[in-house]
Amino acid sequence: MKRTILILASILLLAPATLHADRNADLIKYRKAVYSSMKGHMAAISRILRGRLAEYTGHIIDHAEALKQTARILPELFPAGTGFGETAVKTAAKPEVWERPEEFHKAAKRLEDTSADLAETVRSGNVKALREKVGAVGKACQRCHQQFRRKD
Amino acid sequence: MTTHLFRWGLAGLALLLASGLHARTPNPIAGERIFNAAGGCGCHTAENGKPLSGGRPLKTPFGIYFSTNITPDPDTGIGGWSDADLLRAMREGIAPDGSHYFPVFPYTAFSKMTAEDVLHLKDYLFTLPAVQQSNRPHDVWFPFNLRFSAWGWKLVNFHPEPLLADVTRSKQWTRGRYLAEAVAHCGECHTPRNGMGALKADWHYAGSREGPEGEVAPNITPDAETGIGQWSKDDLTYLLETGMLPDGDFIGGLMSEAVEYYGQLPPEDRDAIAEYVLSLPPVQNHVRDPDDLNE
Repeated sequence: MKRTILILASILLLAPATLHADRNADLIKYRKAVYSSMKGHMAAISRILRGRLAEYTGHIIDHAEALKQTARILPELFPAGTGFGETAVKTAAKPEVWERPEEFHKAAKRLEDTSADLAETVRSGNVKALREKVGAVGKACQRCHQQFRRKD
Repeated sequence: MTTHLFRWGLAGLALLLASGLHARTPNPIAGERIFNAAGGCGCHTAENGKPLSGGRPLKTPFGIYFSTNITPDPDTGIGGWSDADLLRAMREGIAPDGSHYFPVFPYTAFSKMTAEDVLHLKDYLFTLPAVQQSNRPHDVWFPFNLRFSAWGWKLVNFHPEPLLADVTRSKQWTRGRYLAEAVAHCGECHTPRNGMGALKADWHYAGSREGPEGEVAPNITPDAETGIGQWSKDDLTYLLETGMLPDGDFIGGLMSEAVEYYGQLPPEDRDAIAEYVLSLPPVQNHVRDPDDLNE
């Protein structure tokens, strides 16, 4: 009887922790999907830009808007407990994401701003500046990766 | 009369040539192109350090080397170096004081550079701001801390050979080979090394798990499965210009620093590099799971 109580008690005590880890694992998977979607938009933009698809230039607005919206939610995707080794799911996020949150948020804001600027550039029909503006979005991605993404 | 004129003409030409040998005209613009192709000599810039003033730790299996100050500061940089000094350093791996450099400084690649390009690079470096910062001693274990071990290493591993002309190849390919092999020194990271730290010739550009700064350097041979065999030439030139991979992801690490400079090259240089790299023999070598980096 005593043992049953002990087992039941431990299950009750441990279950929330396990559930929490599962939830965090889900969150990392969600996070990866979000980043994959951004990757897709960037690839799409570059295909329009460098290929023979000039008539699709207007679509860059849609892709840039999507990037802008997504950049806004990025800071919410890194709650405590979703770092490397904290769940069963691997993550490339460096501890710096949690150690220097202001800088991380700034990096996300840079993506938001450069994407907005890109959309605006296409809207204004300034095709000449396009490559440079796409480059600025790319730099925002890249600089954040340098600081906050582990490479192994 | 005609002979007379001819003689004077010859003498004048000789004089012109002789003076040209002594005082060459600096060409920092050509040098900047070489500098960009060399990835901005980024190993000489430390994190949060002043550009090119050295002190960046370069971790190797033999210990940590610290890059040197290559700004034109006369005391701590290369400001006091002659043309001959830089030529000897870059192409023979010998310092002005006669000591031998460790191969962490890729003179193994730079030995293939033309003298003209090395000197243009010097002209460009000398236009940049001088920074006074003394070089930090290397932190490597015995016996690699002894300079003559570098001499021994060279004896075994360093046999400089110029890039021979290949008449079956295009001009663009030849330019690309020169840039990739001699200037951009792609192989220094993308080719795995043997126990002595020398590049494995059979694994040219096949990727390395022990790349710079503890990073993986991917397989960039055109192997369809483990390399970049599925890429178009355009994919590669676009990466060299922007740092973006064909799937929309962005590269990180040392390569992203180098791309800042490759992106400033004339487009024909990036095209040439892509032409050359995609012409290499494919090597099957799996160094990384592509899905590892998905956020």
